Amino acid sequence: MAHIGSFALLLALALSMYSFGGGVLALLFQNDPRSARLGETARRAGIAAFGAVLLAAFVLVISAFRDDFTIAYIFHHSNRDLPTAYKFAVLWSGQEGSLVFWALLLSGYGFVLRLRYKTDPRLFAYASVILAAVQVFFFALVNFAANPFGLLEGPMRADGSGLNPLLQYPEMVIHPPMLYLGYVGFTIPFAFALGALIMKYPGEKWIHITRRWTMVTWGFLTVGIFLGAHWAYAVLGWGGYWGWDPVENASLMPWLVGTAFLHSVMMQEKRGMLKVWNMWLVFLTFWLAILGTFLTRSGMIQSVHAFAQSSIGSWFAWLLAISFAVFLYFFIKNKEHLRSEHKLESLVSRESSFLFNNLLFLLLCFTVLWGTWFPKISELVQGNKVTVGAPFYNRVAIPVALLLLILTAIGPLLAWRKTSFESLKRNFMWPTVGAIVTMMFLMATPGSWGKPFGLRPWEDVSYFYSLMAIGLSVLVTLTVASEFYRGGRVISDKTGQGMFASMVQLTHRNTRRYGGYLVHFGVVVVVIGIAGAAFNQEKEQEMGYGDKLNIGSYTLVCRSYTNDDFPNYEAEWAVLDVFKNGKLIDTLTPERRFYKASRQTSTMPYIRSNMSEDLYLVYEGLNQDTGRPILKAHLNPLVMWIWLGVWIILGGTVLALVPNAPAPVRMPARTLVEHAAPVAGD
Amino acid sequence: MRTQIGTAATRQPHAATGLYQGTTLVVPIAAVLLGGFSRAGTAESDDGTKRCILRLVWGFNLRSEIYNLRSRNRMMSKLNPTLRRALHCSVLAAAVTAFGGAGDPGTRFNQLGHQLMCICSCGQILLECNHVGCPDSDGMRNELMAAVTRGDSDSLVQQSFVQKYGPTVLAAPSTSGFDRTAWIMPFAALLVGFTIVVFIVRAWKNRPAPALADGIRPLRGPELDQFREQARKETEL
Repeated sequence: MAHIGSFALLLALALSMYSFGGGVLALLFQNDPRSARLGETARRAGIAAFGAVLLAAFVLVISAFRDDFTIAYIFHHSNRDLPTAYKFAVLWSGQEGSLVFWALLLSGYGFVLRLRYKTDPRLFAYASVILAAVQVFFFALVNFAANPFGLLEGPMRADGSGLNPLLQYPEMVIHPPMLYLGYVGFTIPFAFALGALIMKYPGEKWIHITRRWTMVTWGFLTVGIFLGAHWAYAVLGWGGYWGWDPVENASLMPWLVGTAFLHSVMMQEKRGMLKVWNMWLVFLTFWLAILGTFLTRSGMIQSVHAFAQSSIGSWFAWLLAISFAVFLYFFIKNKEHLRSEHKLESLVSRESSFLFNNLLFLLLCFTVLWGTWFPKISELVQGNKVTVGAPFYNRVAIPVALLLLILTAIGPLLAWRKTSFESLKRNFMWPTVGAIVTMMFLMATPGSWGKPFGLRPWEDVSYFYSLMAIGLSVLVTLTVASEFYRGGRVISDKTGQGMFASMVQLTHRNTRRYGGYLVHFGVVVVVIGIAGAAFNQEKEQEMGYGDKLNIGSYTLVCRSYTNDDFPNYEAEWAVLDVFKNGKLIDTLTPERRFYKASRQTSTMPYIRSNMSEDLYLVYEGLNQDTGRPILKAHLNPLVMWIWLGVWIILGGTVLALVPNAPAPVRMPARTLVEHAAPVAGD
Repeated sequence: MRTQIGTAATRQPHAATGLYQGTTLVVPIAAVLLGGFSRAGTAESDDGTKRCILRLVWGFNLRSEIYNLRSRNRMMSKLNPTLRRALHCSVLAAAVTAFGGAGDPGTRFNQLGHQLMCICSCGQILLECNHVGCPDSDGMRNELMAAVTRGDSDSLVQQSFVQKYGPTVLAAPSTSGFDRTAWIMPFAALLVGFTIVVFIVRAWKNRPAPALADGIRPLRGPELDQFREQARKETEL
């Protein structure tokens, strides 16, 4: 099997090299009549490369299912008793396999791109060549530096070392694919952008094509990031969902720049402005995705995701350098082609709001990049490393995020070119009043109502930020709602339909705009969930039989402890009765597992979620001195809102990708009467 | 042995967000806002504001300091007296609240414990380390509790941890020496970015409008507004 896999990878490399070389020659000699045929063979070679790498990935997964421990990668990342779903996950759970998976997704995207070439054959030919160049890099990497089909030396092993226990969780089967679909997908907008730059593409069609690809990719990355956050919350057992680890930061950076691009691209589409800026944003998004991979796989930056460290960093460093040099060369060569077509008419306009939006997104990205690199910079400058953890990011990023929230409320209501003061007043008065009333209500209510009531911003700066976040979230929600209402009312007045039906019709007519509003609303829901972190409580206690632990309005009573033996792991867990206001409401079983193959221990927190709070219990094991079990309880308000918000964001993204419904044909009044008359006569 | 700690304290929020320094953040921010409004553009503004912040932070003569701010205030003097008084009262309230009640050992333990890292290579905040069988976190927590119970100042506790475990034990860079650049750079970037955006906006506004063919005159004023309103209505849906 290993030989088939190795051959498939070599074949994929050869095909992508041909796709690149043939494609370049076809583009260089476009006047030669043979170039069209050469270009076509290059396109087909790119399609075939997908088949080859698919075969390689298939072989790797089959090897995991067959427990083929002659392959070193399978030996290190699987074992006989590993559940079936996790045997699929073996493909991306280690360095070599995850690179094959990356190459597979890249080729998959390339497959779709090359099949859809008729949309604009010349632009797609350029994009295909650029994509093939990136494919060559990844196939060279998995063939020569990180081959997953290397054979294990020494005697045949009876069983494998097993999959990292932290990865044995259902979300790990879908989180990495989503994240990789996001990372890898940013190569496509980059390929289109660079292609358009090289060929001095006339008009803005390329940006329409690129935007759709970017939205799809952005959607995957968003889901991937939040799945990762949920996995961290549900598995790592520290009670949080975001730890500002370099690997998390690596996924956040391209997301931030990609989000900036999705906003600023509208400037180019509607007003012919920011052409240079958008070109750089597309490049930067791709570049940061590669930089993140370089950071986490080179071992340069310490991360808890240590399984991903290796010596392939230099390969990625070269990719970063070469891609930057190529892009810079063509940018300098063809930058005259990217001149803006219009001037800015007013500071109070949609255009300027997009500029500030981009500034803040880029600033957040810079902060994350700077914080991630600073330990290394500090080591170089002063000879010792420092830690840049959550306190740094929270202090710097939260105020910037709040400013972004203000722009989220203001931006959509500003008109293109110029917005009058009267219009601002008309659009903002009631949402602002609503936000202020909400904030005052939260401040005035007693804390005994539960969180986030009884918010006293003067007691703590985190309360202040929470209050601002919730107030601004209300402001955004009301502005979004007012947009739906105003548009729905116009349709309702014209057609006589009900308000809800009018709003649905309105959304169908401009899915991108109203899908975008839905995404904004989802972001707001996420922000409210994050604001809840200001009220987190935690308590740790040794608990014998019948002992009680009080946290918030909950009382936990230890009923018993037990253990069991499963094929893949041994487990011990506590059985706790949960009382709320004196009434038994649930029985929870936080767990600790010992994985036999990898000989590693892992905790499995038990989370009882509802919309107002999560009761999060961790069984930490026995106290070595007393023999009594230690339990840690977290009470995390509003966490459920985060996961709910992600679903809304996803729904909004999908909606924005749906084509607009055609506008109704406006018929002259006389025609309408003629059509209506016979019906009336009937 | 792990110390049994009941940590569900009233100031628990610090732990969740890493925003521990309500005492030193709220007051300077308010002072900067007031000071910035009051003396923007004057030569004395920088030194004066800095002095005020320092005095506010260190708690010297708060009432007279705010009175001084008010007496020299230009923009503030244009505000409604009731609003002005409310603003000043809020600053005072923030200061009083911030300086009061930050000293109980449970709260300080919680705050400091979230500013330190566990050194077992788990990469987690000390009080969040849930590494099963962690060889370090229990000892570090006990040391921290002992230092807090002794009444050591925050900086002394941090210094002793840095001396014992190295600078990586601090969860965020310090504000001295080269580490200061970690904090400065994001704000410098914001300043540079903001300047660039303003420059771009000005350049774009001054960009000459495209030339029009003979006989066509550009629309301005109410006539232009009328067409815009019409276009907006027609293209809104």
